[in-house]
Amino acid sequence: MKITLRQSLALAAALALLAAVPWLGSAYMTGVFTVCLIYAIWAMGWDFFSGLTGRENFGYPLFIGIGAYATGYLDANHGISPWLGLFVAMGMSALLGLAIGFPTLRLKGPYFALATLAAAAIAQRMLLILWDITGGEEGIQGLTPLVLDTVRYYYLVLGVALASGAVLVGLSRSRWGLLLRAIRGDEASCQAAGINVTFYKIAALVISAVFAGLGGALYASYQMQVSPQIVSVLMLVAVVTMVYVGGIGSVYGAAGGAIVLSLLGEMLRSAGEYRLLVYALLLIVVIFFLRGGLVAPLWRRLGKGATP
Amino acid sequence: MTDILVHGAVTSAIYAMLAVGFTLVFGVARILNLAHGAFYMLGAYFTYLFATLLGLPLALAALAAIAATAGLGWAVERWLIRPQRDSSMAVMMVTMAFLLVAEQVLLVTFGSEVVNVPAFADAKFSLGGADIGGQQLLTLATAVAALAVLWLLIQRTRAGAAILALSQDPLAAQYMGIPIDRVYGRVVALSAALAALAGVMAGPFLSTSPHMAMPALTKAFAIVIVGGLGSLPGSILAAILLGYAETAVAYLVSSSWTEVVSLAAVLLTLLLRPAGLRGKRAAF
Amino acid sequence: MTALLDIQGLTKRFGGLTAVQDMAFCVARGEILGILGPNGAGKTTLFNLLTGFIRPDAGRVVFNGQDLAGRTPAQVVNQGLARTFQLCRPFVGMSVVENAMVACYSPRGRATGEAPRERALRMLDDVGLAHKAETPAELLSYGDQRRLEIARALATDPLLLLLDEPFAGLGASEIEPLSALIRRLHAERGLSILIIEHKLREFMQLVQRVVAIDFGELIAIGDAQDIVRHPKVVEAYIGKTEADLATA
Repeated sequence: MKITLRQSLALAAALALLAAVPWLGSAYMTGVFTVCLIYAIWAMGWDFFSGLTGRENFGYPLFIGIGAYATGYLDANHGISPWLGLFVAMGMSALLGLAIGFPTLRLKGPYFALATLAAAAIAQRMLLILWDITGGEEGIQGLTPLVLDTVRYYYLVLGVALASGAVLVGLSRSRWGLLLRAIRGDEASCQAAGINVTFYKIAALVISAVFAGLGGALYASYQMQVSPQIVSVLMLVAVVTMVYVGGIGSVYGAAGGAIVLSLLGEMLRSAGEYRLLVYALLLIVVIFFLRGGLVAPLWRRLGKGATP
Repeated sequence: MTDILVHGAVTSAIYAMLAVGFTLVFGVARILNLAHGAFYMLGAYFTYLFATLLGLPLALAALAAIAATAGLGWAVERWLIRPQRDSSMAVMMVTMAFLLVAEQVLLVTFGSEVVNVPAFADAKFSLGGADIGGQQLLTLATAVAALAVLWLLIQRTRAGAAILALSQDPLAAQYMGIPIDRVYGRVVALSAALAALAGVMAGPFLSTSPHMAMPALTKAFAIVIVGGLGSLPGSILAAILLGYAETAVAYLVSSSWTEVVSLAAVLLTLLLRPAGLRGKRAAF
Repeated sequence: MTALLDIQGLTKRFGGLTAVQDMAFCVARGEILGILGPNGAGKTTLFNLLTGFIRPDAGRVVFNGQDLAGRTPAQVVNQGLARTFQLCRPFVGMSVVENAMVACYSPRGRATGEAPRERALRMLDDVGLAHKAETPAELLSYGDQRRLEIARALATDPLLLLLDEPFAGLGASEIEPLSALIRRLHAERGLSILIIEHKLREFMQLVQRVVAIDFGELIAIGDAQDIVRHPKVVEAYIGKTEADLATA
């Protein structure tokens, strides 16, 4: 991957700043950035599938949720370590990705979006109905954190986020990205080129789901609880807004979008009950005026000029 | 048994009014208007606003509520949907955002508590042993009337013919000189009016809170998936099926399991017959 | 020597309309076989049946000794049967070389052992598009898009290439180079070709044998020169008058 001098500097600066967060800010800010990086994992996961294939996966919170609830349930009811829970979460979300992918990915255009949206909405209701397993409205409380120290938790999440970013961005620049974009362009032509379209679609969805579940498990363990809010439309809107701000389809932009919006969210903390309203209005503004996003165009601008 | 028969009919009526508008918009404009649930909510809230807070006579308040929501629907099409029509993802996100804005505005203005939307009829009736409120019976009658009017509109008027033409072949319709932008605006306004009507009638006996938009939206598209996206008879059929199935489950099993009915119906449809009961355009 | 492609009793109905009726013929290895027929004769339907895009109601297709029944289009391609479409469909938003690389990632393309990008560039070179490798595909002229389609098909290392009206929509200056390209591919690679085309002059220059189709049925099969004078073929195209087909 060719990268210019300016891009390298920008990336190095960003990484340095992220590494220095616990020293630069208070314990509270470290916590904010921890959550922000989890959102970055979620956003990159969503962009990898929906941004590249152009098929809106509106059921994404489902994968987040199953990861969170799997690890939460095992921790609270069976004392399973959240470290093991991370892997169970990834496995469960992968399975769910397969289960949802097979029937829905055959569907054209808006049917897929509709079906996944319906699945997530109904699943959220199911979480309330099956309250004896899921804890209903209150969810599952008293989970064990992965590590006890806030700063160490931050570095753990930073490490996972960087690794996730490396994997997802790497895939998007490899044949996966190429083939997924081709599938977005014209599925019939892909088949005529000998590509097993169904395999790649489902595999991409499963990959996206795995990272969603991983983030979900990290989040549940960090918050030490899991609640139905994690499968809500608000979660979807937050993630998608981050991806849009980052530049849909770039995958790396999604991480940048997560950081931008998390900081914005903090600044809006004083808005109190108006926060969600501002988010929704922001999404409208982004869609109208920032379709290409902020982060990806910025990165590309830095890319113009001499290579080192 | 008569309980299920009677209450099932009322539920189906509400569902039909909700779903028909949603499917109409998709069938004609090929877009998923995720703001649809908000129109249902606004129908109820506008009625509350006009009747309870502004003191207008109920009939007037209701009409004003429907008109206001229809106008809002038209505005959403004109200023949110139309500029983004090249991207279905953008349309979905922007209409979803509108639903959230509506929800949050109402939350901030009226609080998250349930509000009392005044009913047209407070009387209680007994139909063959089943207890039913006057408002619920009125809802059923209104739904039937509204759908009949809609059918007449589409089959017998020029505006209706334009809508039909557009749903079959947008390009040909344009060549015929049909003003597609204007028709799209009218269709969204019409669907908003229907949803608002459902909200006006059902608001009094179903809980009216700022959180009613999302479940209404979910219900609408569960029905529409089962009935077939874009098929009006399909939506009505699915509304009746799901309305009765849910009512039966509520009476025979437990009311908390009603959501499972929609889930099962959606899953079955997607697995066995993705185009829905009467879907014209196959899902793949 | 057994035929490369053996079509037996192929039939397809769409509701009340029989698009293809009991179609049967063979394509020998290394030959260029042409399909002639007026619009609506069922030629593209035949291609769709052969390549797995639609399923036949009756009959079978045996390619390179394998029955293609029930295979998906991608599987058919990976058996060595590639096609181009009547309407060029490049992958929008991707460059020319990226377009070709997609096909290089097919199992059959990878089986050649070549690195995908190298193979893609080589295919582009073969069709004369190497100098436009980084151009966005949608900016190509129609003639170049056709070449890209062919490059994509070639990247899958086919034994048989189905060309669906390759000269359609091309300007006069683009036709001859494309015709030369097809002849060169056939000569250099021993590629078997099945071609549908209306432009009779180019058609006659390329094909050795011809299958004539009308209303979904095979009406004549034989050497090119004989077929165009065949009374049934003349009648299908022009009606019951003699025509100047013989001068093509």
